[in-house]
Amino acid sequence: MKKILIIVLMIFSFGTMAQEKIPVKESDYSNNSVEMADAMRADGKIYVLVGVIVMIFAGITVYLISTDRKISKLEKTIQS
Amino acid sequence: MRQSWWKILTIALLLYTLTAGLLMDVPRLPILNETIRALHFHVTMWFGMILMLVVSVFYSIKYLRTNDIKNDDMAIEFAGSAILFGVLGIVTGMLWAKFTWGDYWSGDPKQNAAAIGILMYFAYLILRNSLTDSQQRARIGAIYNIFAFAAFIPLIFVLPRLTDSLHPGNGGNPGFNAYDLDSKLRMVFYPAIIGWTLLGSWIATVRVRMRRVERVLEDRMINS
Repeated sequence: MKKILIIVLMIFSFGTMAQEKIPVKESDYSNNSVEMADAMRADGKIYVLVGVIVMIFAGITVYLISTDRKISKLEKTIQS
Repeated sequence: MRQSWWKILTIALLLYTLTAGLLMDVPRLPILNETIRALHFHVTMWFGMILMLVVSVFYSIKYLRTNDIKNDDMAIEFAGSAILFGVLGIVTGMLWAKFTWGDYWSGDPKQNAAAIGILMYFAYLILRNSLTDSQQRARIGAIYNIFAFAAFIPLIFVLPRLTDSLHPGNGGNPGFNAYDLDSKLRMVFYPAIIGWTLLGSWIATVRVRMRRVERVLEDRMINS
């Protein structure tokens, strides 16, 4: 319990350890003079990109899960 | 799948990282532009690497105390995952640097230190592979691993801060924590660290189990 408390307090105190800060203001979110991928968002194409990345991640995950399962099977056959 | 709850958590956290990390509003800052989102991908590689190296060193120490080869399996495979993350960190950092600092490699102290660190860990793999006796390999590997970690931490956390560096948080540069103080970035950044680290740990544990199955099979071959 004590340990958990210390960890929690440490996490909160990290925020105060930083040096000189450049605070991010609300205006930074609406600052239109900085170019961002607005056109991508406006055309809706960014979602295509997110879809592509998620599909790749899904593929890798499925592969990892199947490897995991194969090893589980091997472990079972070895024990028996 | 064995102990699947944390594996499901890994997938959930990473799906959140990939979608929210790419879609959520971010501060519009000059030079960085949309690349600020690399915070959730490039920076987290290094956090993941260091967390996994801690695990690796923990098992190296445990091996030296117990002489149980199972601890060595954990040490080498967690180091392996960490090295993979480190290489990805360097490569993604180079691409990011090209479009924000102007060059793939600008001899930045932190870039150089990270490269040296990676080379130290390559040496760890080569050292291990050059030894044939498994107990000797584990023992020498464990000692090297502890020393490498002790050199790696000051190399990437302390030394670059003592001089001028392009990396945020070094040489008078404000840290990214100035930006990720921004609660919206943190909402993705922290889950991303946990997610990527868990993914690396998952890969490491799968490989550890493979090693152990191989060992059992080898022992049976010898004994039969």
